[in-house]
Amino acid sequence: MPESRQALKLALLDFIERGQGRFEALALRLFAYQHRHNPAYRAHCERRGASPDRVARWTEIPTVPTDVFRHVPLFCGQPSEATVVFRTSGTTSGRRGEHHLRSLTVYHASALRAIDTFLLPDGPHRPALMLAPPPEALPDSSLSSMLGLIARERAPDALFAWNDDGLDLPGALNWLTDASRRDAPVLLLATSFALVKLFDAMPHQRLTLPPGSIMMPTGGTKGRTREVTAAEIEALAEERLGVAADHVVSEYGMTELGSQFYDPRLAEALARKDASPASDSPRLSGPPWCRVTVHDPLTLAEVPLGEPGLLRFTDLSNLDSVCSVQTSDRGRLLRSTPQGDTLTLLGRQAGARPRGCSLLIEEMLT
Amino acid sequence: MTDLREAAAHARRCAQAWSARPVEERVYLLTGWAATWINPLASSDRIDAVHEIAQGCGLSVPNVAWGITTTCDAALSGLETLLTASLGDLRRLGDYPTGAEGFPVRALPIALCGHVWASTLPTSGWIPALASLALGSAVLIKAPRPALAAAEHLAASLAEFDPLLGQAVAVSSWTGGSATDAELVELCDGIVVSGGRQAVDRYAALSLARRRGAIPCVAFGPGESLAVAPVDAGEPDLDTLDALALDVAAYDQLGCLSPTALWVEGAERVEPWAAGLASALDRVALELPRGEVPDDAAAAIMQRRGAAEFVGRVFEAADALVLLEPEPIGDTPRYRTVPVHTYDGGPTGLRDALMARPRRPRLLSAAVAGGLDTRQRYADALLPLGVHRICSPGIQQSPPATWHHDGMNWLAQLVRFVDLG
Repeated sequence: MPESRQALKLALLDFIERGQGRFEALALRLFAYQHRHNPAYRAHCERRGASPDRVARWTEIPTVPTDVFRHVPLFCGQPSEATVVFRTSGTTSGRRGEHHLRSLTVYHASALRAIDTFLLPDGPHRPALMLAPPPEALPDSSLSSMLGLIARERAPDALFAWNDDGLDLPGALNWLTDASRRDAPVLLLATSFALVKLFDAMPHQRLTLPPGSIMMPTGGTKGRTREVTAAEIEALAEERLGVAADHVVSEYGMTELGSQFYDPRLAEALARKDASPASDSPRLSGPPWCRVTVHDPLTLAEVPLGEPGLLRFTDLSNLDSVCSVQTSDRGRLLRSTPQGDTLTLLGRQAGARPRGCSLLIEEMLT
Repeated sequence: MTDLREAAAHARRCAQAWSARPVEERVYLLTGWAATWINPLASSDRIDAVHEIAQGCGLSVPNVAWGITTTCDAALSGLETLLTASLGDLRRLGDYPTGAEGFPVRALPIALCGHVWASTLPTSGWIPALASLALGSAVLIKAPRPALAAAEHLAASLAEFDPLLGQAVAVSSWTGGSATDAELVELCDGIVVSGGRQAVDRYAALSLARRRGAIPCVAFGPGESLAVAPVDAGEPDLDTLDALALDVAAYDQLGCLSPTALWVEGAERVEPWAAGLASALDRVALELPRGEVPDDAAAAIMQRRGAAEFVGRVFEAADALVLLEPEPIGDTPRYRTVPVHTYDGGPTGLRDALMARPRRPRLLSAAVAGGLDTRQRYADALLPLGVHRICSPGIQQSPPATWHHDGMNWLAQLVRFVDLG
């Protein structure tokens, strides 16, 4: 009897929210479901001679390069049945990648659990400022959707510093100035590019946000008008806003993945573990339901732990599309455990497109 | 900076003696030098140089040797013709012969010509440098790091062949975009630049804004080429497929004359051509194996292959991929990655299909299978797209020295004509 989406969804939610179940077993169940219901993916698997009865390990699940999302609807069902479509930026080919979702239940559960673990390990409910459009302004942005989720579930008083003209820098500066006069720690979420614009707008201004305030930059600035490294953003955050370096929690995600990775230093510090200093290639940790393997760029053979290569994600939160996604992002896997993997990015591939909705939003900022 | 000035001054001084030699002697020496490079892997004097050039640019040793042979063969057979065709009369370089204009004309070469090379094809700058020397100019080469070995071996072997000739050549290297680019332009009397859009535009602007007066700038900018299999060409035969594969494999598809796609007329004909090209690429890899593939290109190839698997079909070959894509889905990552598309309606159908692409790169050349009549019909149709070299498959990457690179009589820009009325 083929497994229903509902049964699989409940099993995934058990794993994500309660840690019940095993990653490998769930990955293989998810593969079987996607093989059955995703016609484009099934054809891809058949070309490779891969089917649920032949795939024994999660690392054997046929992967799909991210660019395929630009050309084919990778959806379990008819694309018209999707209630949400997240889109990537257009870039050179003019085609935008599309990630179809039947519902946001698993996506939101995955996002919230990772947010609670890495971004808000000391608890939710704090004033928040978002330097990005709200979901209603950019409904096909997975990043805006995630920020909307945070605003709704973890920071009910959040302000999106955004208006009809784009980024509302005066509004953001007013909000930050007010926040610096209060005691309650705040949360600042922004694309790296928006942060650069903010810092450029306050060259001589020095604010000190309350201790415990957290900043989450997402998306790089490589290939943009001005490149700023993660370490430079951390330094500017400390200098201009008084946000401690270990409270800058970088996020890494992409439209094609439901899960996100975060700088684990804040979570580690609060768990009384050693926190490492900032660097241009910070560590990024992911949740237990999104595992990472690293592959040789030319042969796509898996490389040993610690070796550089292209990052491949097997993400159980990708319920309605494909769970194994091959990216063009270079990185190293630093630690691989059932509790979650930790990687470091080695910069975007020069020929690869900047990932995800960060760029989509940045296009609106320029 | 001092080194650059000294090198330029030295080359300029020595060029006076070089320029004083009769043009026939200069051409004789340069073609004699080219003959020493014709089969570099069989020459104990040249084999180390080929390895060093290959190491610098990442191409395989046989591919570099193929490029050297092709370039030197073109110089050997066409250098004198290039000068004659460009100037109207070779004697104009030292005298006032009366030409088609009806009055005596002399051609004065510029004293020092700067040659700015691209990084992808290490020996592609040899012909323009040799042509400058044949005119009687001194040559100052700026080579990027990957092409530096090719520049240094060119200069060293010229000096070895004829010391006076060698002294008219200087080589330098620095990162592009620096103030040294402006200094190079100030030091030279003319510039030949090959490279990407930014480099070409920068040198063109610097040449116009030069403090001591504007100088000519011959700019060979970026471009793309394609291969075409019209209905007239019939079914794919081994010779044509091998010729197409050579065009792809030469320089690992990194040159502006490298075909970045194969267009096949008629959807029903496309599979045999795609499959046949993949087999031919297998064969050509035995003699011309692919060189290093940078990580970013490998990632782009992986993505493109993935997309092609979903929208079309992939034909694998040794060191190469042929991707049957019903519609163009973006730029090829090169390194022997050949998208194959279809069109209908003959030459105008191809033109319309090319114009309908989401991005329209500057097209330079097309290798068209079939006879001369077919090529001429395609030439007429593709002219509006900028295509200015239509040839048979197999010779796309080995143009004669006399070809109008970028559609220009470029060498004529490096002399000043003096009319005697």
